[in-house]
This record gives sequence, C-alpha cells and structure tokens, in this order.
Amino acid sequence: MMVLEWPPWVWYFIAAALVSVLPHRARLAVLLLTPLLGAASISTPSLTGITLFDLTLIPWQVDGTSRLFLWLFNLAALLGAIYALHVRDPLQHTTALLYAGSAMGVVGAGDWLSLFVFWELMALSSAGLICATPTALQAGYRYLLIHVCSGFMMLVGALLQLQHTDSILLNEPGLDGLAGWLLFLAMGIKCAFPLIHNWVTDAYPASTPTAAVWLSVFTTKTAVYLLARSFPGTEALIYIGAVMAVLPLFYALLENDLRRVLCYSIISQLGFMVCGIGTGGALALDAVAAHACNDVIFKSLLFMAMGSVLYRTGRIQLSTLGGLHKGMPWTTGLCMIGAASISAVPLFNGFVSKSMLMSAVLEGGHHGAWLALLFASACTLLYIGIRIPYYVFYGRDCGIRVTDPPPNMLTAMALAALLCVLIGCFPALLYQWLPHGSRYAAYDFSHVLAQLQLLGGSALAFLCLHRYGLYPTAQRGINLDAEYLYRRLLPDLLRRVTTRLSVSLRQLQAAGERSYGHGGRRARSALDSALHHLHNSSLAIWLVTGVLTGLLLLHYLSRPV
Amino acid sequence: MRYLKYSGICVAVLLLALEGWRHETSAMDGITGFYIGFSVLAGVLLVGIARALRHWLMRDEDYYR
Repeated sequence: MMVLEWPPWVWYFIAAALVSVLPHRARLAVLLLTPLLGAASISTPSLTGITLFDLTLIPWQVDGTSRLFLWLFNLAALLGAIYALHVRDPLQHTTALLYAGSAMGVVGAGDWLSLFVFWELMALSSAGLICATPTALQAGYRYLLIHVCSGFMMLVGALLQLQHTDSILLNEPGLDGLAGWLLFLAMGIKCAFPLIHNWVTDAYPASTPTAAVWLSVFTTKTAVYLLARSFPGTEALIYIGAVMAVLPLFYALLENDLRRVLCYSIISQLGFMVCGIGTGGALALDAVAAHACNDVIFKSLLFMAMGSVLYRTGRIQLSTLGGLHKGMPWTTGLCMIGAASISAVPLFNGFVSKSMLMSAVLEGGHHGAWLALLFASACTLLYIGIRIPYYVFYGRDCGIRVTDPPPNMLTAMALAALLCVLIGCFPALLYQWLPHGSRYAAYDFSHVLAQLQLLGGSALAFLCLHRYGLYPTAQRGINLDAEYLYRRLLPDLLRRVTTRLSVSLRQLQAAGERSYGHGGRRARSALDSALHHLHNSSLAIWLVTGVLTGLLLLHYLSRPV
Repeated sequence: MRYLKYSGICVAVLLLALEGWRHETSAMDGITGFYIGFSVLAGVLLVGIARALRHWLMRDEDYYR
C-alpha cells in the first residue's frame, strides 16, 4: 500500500500524536500539512475484507457524497488550522486534529461498527476541545454526556440492525422498528433536533475562539451526511426540519451572546438541510450537500470574525460592543461578506444553495415546509445579516479601541470570504462536485428577483422596527430553552424525591438504631453520603442514563436470535 | 438612517416594478409583491413574537449556577 493510500483519518491521528510532543514551530508545520495530506488521500481505495467476530467490516469506502464531505472537512480543517496558528496550547491542536480525523472516519465508514467507533472518538475529542479552557468544563461535561447517549443509541441500534439483517454494513434502516428509531435519534442528537439541540448553544459558546471554529463544522455536518445517507425521503424529517429552521430564530433575536446567536443560526441552517433530506430525490440531496458545503464556509467565517472580536476585545456580549469598524476594518468587511452569504444575497454562496434547496422542497410538493423555510430565509437577514455587522461594528460606540487580529486569523477569514464570493459568482465550481450530478440554474431571473424582494422586504422591516424602537435591544441575561429540562427541572425533581426519601430513611434509621445500635449508625452515615451525592444533578443524569442503558440492553438480550 | 429608509423604499418599488418579467416557479409567484409583503410580515412577526417571549423566557445570567 502506498503511503498516500492511507485513509485521511490515519494522517490526522498521526498528526494529533505528533503535535502533542513537537515544539511549537514544528507543530505549526504539521497542522498545515495534515489537511493537505488528508485531501490528497481521499481517493484511497476501500478497505474491505476485514473481519471481526465473523463480521465483515468496511472501515473505509468513498462514494460521491462522502468524497464531497471529505473535501469539505479537509478545507474546514485547513481554515481552522490557519486561524489557530497563534495558539501555543498543544492540547487544543491535538484534540482538534483528533476531532477532524474522527469526523472523516465517520464519513468514510462503510459499516455501523466502524462508524460507532469514530462516532465515539468524535464525541470524546470534541469534548476535549471544549474543555481546553477551564471555564468550559461544566459545559464540556454536559456535552459529553449527551453525545455518549447518542453513541449508545447508535450502538444498540446497530446491534438490533445486525440481529434483523445479519449484516453490519451501512444501509437505509427505515423507521419501521426500534433499530431504525434508535439510529435516527442518535443522528438526531448530533443534528440538534428540536428539544435535543441545546448542547450546541451550551458548549460551543463556552469554548475558545479558535476551538469554536472547528466545533461549528464537524459534528453537525457529519450528522447531516449520515441522515442523508441513511434516511433520505423520510417524511418526518420535513416537519422536524421546518421546526428547526424557524424556532431558533426567536431565540437568536433575543440572545446577547454573539457566538450563541451563531449557534442558533447553525440549528436554523441545519433545519434547511434536514428538510431537504426529508424531501429526498436527486435535486434535494444535491442541494443538501451544496448547502452543507456553503454553510461550513460562511459559518466558519462568521465564527472566525466573532472569535477575532472576542480575541481582541475580550467581550462577546452584544450589549457591550459597538463601533469597532474603525479599529477593525478588515474584520468588519470580512464579517459583512459572511453575513451576506448566510442571508443568501445573490452573488454570495448562500444564495446558490439555499435557492436550490427551496426549489427542491417546492418541487417535492411540500408547500407548508417551503413557507417555513421562506420565513426563516427572510428572517436570517433580520437576526444575523444586518444585526451583527450593524450592532458590533457600527451603531453605538462602546469606546473600545482595538486593531484587527493577527495575520493568520485574517488570512483564514479572507480565504473563507474568497470562497463565499467565488462560489456565489461561479456556482458551477460547486455544482460539478455534487454527488447526483443535478443541474440547477441559480441565476434565473425569477429566483434572483424573488430573493431580492425577500431581502428588500426584510431590510425595510428592520429599518422601520429600528426607527420606531421596536427592534429588541440586547440585554444581559439568559433565555430559558430546552436545557431547562435537564439543568433545572430534572435536578429539582430528583432533589425533592431524595429529600422525601431521606426523611423516610432517617425515620427508618432511627428505628434501626433503637433495635441494632452501632450498626444502625454506620448504615445511616452510608445512606446520608449516598443521598448527598444523589442531590448532585450530574449524578442524577448519570443514573438516568444508566437505567436507560440497562433497559435497552435488556430489551436486546431478551429477543430471540 | 432616514436616507437608508427612503432608498430602501425606492428599491422595493423598483423590485415590484420588475414583477412583470417573472415566470412563475410557484403558486405564490402569481401574487404581486408576495415576497416583499411576506418578508415584511415575517420580520414584524419575528420581532413581535420574540418580544413577547422575552417576558416569559428571560432570566438572570447566573440562573443555572
């Protein structure tokens, strides 16, 4: 086997090991070289004929869809590496490379078992990347817990799938049985389905400016890739996608933390893709792939721009920023390109894929979903396209005098911005890589006019609402979201239960002490200790996870082979 | 800001004037000014609902601590 015929993830894992021990300058060389080697080895032939416990595994195979995502991930890794060149922390570089490599492993996996291994590695390495900053430990812990649940569902689903089909190879499981639902939910957690989406808005804003750029790319896009591969044309995804596209907009508009605004926009854009997967068909799946590519580029750019603001000012709350364009002219310009792209302004890349995706949904006859996507598309300009550039770089001067970030950060942003414009002006550059070879004319007069009218109306709404003081001002505070369930409601409920339990047990213990003396006192101290730990919400969540695990394993084992 | 508003209105009128050259890609394309009207309404709805939700959802920054 030639050296370049190793799958890309091998390069990433080797690089991760190297950067953890090499000195700073050598580490930078490895960081930059790895995505190039990864891209060069995408065409590695499939690894077949590997058996484990009589199971045939395919840890590496490439088709049209996975090839596009692998190119995309290597590009994102290159941008992330350039952006993080000034970082001297080897832990961040190591976990970032492991994370990117694992994501490529998921994309290249040809069987559920290999996929599960990379899936879990991805969860562990991304949690490590989040926890690289001490203030993010709690968020990283919650993130890991949720993703371990996802991995567990994936494993049980794969085992059930094996039991039913006698094959561990990737297929389209459908939603007819428990196996299909578990796999669907495992991907749904990583894809930030409604009510299980809060790990995105909890963990990503807590990470470092450079880590957030890596994090914004891999996990969610891997889930989109897998959903597109395993559940194309599943009707439930159309409704889920429509809710995902619309619901986060309200939160994003109220949010004060700019990186959390971007996280809500990740979920909204994922909603577009999920809707496209639910629609199914060549055009829709190609549109999903195209929009995933464009989303990675413009979302990276926006995360890099906000990371630069955080890096220079030390602030990321909208209420504390304003008037930065004088000191950060390049960042302002590049951020505006990102904002124009995500708002789907013609001549920017967001337009060429969003227009394609919405056309596919409309052609599929899903008019309700199309209206929901149109609503989200119109509002994107309002909550992000105008809001971020205007309030951060213009608007009220916050009095901070800073300069543009270091050259490496600017270079990464400039490259992403260049891609936004290039793909926007010459969509064939992207369309030629689409897996099903769909041909779509984005610059049709009707499409362009409809989009310009949509954007014009949004801009008009913003101006009027801003003029009359109706546009929501940024305020310090948090907004209750689905995380309330596991960060407040569930721990509160468990606390009440354990308090009741402890009262009953103390009464029981008092009776025991009267009967058995010293032994009763030792039992009481052990019980008190256990109850104290049970009061801790994190332990409670582990308990719930454990019970769920037990139940699912029991279900699996009790079925006849 | 005032100039921006007026120029926005001018652009909106111009975009409406171009409607005649459009070919229909959806049933909504037959309604004159659908996209402008829809996006203005969407913006107002978004802001209105978000402002109403803020009263229910907003808590102190250390709410979960």
